[in-house]
Amino acid sequence: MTEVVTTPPLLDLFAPPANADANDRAATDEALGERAEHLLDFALAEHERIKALDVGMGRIALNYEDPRGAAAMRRMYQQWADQSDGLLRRVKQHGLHGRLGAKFDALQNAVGFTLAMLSLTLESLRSGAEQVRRGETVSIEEVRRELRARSRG
Amino acid sequence: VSYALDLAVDVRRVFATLPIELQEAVLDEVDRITAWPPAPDSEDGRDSSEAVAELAGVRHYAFFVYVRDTRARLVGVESMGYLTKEL
Repeated sequence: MTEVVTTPPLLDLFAPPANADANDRAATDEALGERAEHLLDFALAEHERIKALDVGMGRIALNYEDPRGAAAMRRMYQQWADQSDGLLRRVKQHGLHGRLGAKFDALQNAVGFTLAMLSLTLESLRSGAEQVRRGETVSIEEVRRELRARSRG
Repeated sequence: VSYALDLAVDVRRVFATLPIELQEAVLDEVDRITAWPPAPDSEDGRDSSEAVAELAGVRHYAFFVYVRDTRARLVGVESMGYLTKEL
């Protein structure tokens, strides 16, 4: 029979033992915070690397003319976003998000923007590009006028 | 010299569904782009940008793709994605 070995999430390695006293817990919390910060740094750097790869290939994730290339690049973004979202959840579960403030926030935004980008299908990107090409557009001034009228009404 | 900016009709529809705070954040971002469009990320003049707003424990994200026409001095927003995440 094959034994399945699963790797615990890295943050769990710092969970305090059940019989830990107050001093052990404080030291473990400190170590957990440091580990979490390294993981946030790693996730942010990984996002920069993926984005640099995408930009280096001419924003292939948005290129509806190259559906295979776009799908491969999007998969990479999606995997990163899933893993990073999991990391954010665990950091929050451990109550560390407050002390890691700016980095936690930066990763949360990077995940949000990535998922907002992935919500655009290649078909909607193509259709939008065609609308702009055909002049099926409205000016930003018109949009602002509508906004002002709505806020007055 | 600043650029004019148009939204594709589908983008206008998405924009109209955004909370007002995010609409304002998007408008601030497009003002920045039209004042000084950055060098595009791709050869076809296409680029992307984003805006965020926080409302009652929820963060609202907009991501949009635009193309710039240097001859016409026009930025056209082609697509806009929208996503919310609880904090």
